[in-house]
Amino acid sequence: MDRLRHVLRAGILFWAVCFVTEPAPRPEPLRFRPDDPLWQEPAPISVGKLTRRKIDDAYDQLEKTFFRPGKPGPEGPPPSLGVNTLDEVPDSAWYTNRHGRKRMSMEELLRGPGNERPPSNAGPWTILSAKTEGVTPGFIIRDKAGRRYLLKFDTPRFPNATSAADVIGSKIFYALGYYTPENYIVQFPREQLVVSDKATVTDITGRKRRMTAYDVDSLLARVNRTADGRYRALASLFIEGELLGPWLYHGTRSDDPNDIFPHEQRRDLRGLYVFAAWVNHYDATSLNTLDTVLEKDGVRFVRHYLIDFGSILGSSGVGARDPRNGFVYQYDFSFAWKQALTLGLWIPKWQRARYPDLPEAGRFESDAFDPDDWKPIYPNPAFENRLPGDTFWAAKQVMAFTNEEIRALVELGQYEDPRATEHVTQMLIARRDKIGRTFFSKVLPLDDFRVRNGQLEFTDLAEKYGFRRSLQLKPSWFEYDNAEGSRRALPGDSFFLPPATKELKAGSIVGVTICAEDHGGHMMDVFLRKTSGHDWDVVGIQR
Amino acid sequence: MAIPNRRGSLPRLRRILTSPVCFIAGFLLAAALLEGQQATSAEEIERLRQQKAQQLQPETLPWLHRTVLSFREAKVQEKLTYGYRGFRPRFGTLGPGSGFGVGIEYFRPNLMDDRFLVRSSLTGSLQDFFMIDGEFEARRLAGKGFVNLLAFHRFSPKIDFFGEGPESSIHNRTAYSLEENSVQASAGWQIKPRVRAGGLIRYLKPNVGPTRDGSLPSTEAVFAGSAVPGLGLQPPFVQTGAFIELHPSRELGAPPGGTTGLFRWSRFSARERVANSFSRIEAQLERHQLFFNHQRNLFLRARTVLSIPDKGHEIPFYLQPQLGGPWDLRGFRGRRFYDNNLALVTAEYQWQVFSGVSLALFVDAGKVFPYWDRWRLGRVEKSYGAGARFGNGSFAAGRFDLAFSREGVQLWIVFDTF
Repeated sequence: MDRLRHVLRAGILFWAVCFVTEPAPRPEPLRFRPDDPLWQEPAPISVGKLTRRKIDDAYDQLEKTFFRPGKPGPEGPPPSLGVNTLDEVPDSAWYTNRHGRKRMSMEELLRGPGNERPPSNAGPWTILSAKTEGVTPGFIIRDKAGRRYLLKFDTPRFPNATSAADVIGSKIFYALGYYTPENYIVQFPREQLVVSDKATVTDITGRKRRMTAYDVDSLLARVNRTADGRYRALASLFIEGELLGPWLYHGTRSDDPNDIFPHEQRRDLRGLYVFAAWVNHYDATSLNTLDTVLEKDGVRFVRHYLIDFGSILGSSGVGARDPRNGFVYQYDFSFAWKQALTLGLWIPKWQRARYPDLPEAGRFESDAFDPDDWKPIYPNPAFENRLPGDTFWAAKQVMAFTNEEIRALVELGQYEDPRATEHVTQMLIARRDKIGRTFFSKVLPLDDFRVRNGQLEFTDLAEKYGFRRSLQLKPSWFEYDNAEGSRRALPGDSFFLPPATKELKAGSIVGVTICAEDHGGHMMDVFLRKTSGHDWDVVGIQR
Repeated sequence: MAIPNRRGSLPRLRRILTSPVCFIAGFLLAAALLEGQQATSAEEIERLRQQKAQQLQPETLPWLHRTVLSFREAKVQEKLTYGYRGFRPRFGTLGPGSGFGVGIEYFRPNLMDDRFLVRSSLTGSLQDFFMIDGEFEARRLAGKGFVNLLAFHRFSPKIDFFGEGPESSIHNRTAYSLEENSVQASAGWQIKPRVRAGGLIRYLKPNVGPTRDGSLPSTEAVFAGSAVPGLGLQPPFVQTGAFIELHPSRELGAPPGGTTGLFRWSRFSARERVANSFSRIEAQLERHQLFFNHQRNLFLRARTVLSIPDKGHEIPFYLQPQLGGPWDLRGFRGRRFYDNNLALVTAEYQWQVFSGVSLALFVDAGKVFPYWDRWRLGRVEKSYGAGARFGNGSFAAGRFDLAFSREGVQLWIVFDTF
């Protein structure tokens, strides 16, 4: 009798966890279309003449800090857009599934957006102008092959930190699915640089004049040199196409017919929060993005890039990262009030963080890093709208990088001190694991669903990566009316498809609700569609 | 027959096909077929794109953003800061009590590949203070040498004077006017990236007169000329000296904070046989000690000015070091204490609330004293207060301070590198 009471109590508790303490209202029912799940967006509509856009960095910060465009309303962020029925992001001009969906080989990872077009050493590099955007000193050059590059330098106090970060960042974000520029680390003697007759420089008084060799020398006098007296720099190949300027993290471009989802609702931009947190890309603002018009098969379309990774890892672009960055906004009023009222006696963990004396590594750590409380330099509308589904999507991609892959990518930074390579690698590994642990706990982290031998199989990512033991999962099967969005329960309490599904005709959809009684009541639905060959395809996932 | 028969059946069929019943049936059939042929997700995306393609508009920015951008593109900030064709406005102070000053400056800091600086300005203030100056600097002479020429004419119609020495009373507040004509040449060598040393020679022609401010009694009306050296007669001076300076690092990416210092020895030789000659040693050391990952700063400052008059000579009051005001004893009025020597220490605890904005608690202690070799710790004046700092560590853009002392409260708003 006691045993029966115990079982009943456990049962009641289980159902209470599953249904009474459900964390969020169920989303709208899915409607499956014949081509679902869509993995590739259709070919774009050709765009006409598009306006080149400029953004003022100070205004952007002011607007995002005080006016907060795209900020979620009191009801919370709206559902993510730009996702298929599997809750994944289809390939588009914003994003391409790469390492997260189908593992890239080591060679592909190291190649990234390209590694065959460094500046040619066959002739001098002609300086066309001084770099005017951003904080890192540099030039715009053209090599003998006629290719243009942005040449950026490191500072003597933090040698190699910025150029290494820029190269590592371009490879990592490319592998994560974004479009990034081709970045190369180059070393060259002073004689490699010649000034174009048409090169101009704007001095501090705003006066434009012809650039002289002295301008070049005075900039080079402030940057890092190698032991043999050469200059080390980052050469970023100019992105092809008609450059339109930065894109915004909210709204859409009003002149681009293919830009249909508000950016703050795009899964690929919301999930970027996790990627930015991983590598500490605190400068993930519109200033470090670029739209460009490309033409393919006679169709002109806009491709959206992430650029400038000089302010990731422990680098700030001109030195070591400001210890605040990544932990509080530059103008964070709640933090400021706490500091002011406590006379600075409240000392958050990040203010006590310790950094090794490795100038090349700058300031990069993992102890104080809290993946869910990481902050860019100022509020980012897409990041503020992130939902657990977005962070899970991104976290599983971060977790896809193995220790060996991370080390190989960090080695592309060509740090001179092997301890810097080791430190950056270890920090990325530790931050990766914190990300997985944090965001896999916010949803039921089941993935890689497939039907094999009449049974639904999947991978529990938190268990796979050793974050916790396996869960006790309870499936509840149902037949799904795709037209109505209604469900009819089917008998079956295991992950084997219920016998009743055998009678269903091709095209029928069944689903299973999976509930984890020991995982905060998290649950998810998985939808299967019967093929004409009487197999079952996974067509939908709803978390 | 067949034809009539045929003719007879065709109109009937046409009537049936064109009847309303057939129309409704056809519509329902078509609707049912369309319902079965569901649009694909790709088609749905294309539909949304086509829908947007009908409503395209040129990409524009909000008006405020456009305004800020045009402000930036016109380089208004650069023109205000560094000048337009060399000319720029000048704002600030001409010393304690001058009120807000406005002027115009011709500023060419980087002529001939940064070899030369030329500067000249004309500034007036709300309290009728006035200054015109000119400066020329040549750098990188023989590698690390520099020469600086500076000349100015300054007229200060109202400078507070409370009497000499630490015992002076706040109730003896008077004012005098001071006209200064100065020409100075200095030259030196950049010994290390942060250290430079050199020597200087200067010709100074001061002229003290009654204040033009009717709200305060004139100094000569309250203090006897014999009791205040220099009040009656102001000779020209030739100042010679040597200095060594420790600057903050200008290296790219250098962290804020660090130590700066100045040591200067000067000899003031009064001309026209007036017994006002003396030697002077000035020393100042500042330290920004950052901790808790640059979020806290302990700022320490020590400053002393020691004057050694020639035997039988007196140091004129207008060349005496002064204490009080926004840079030292902040709880006291500007130039509150005059004497031949001074010593001052300041300590500030600063804690960052925003990036580049810190709050501060501070305490100042200092005194003036008549004889450089008779310095005692007693009777030190103290002030304390709180304020805000704009900037990071030693790279500060401005501050405001609310300071308290035994003589009341002072509010200072200052743009400097304190």
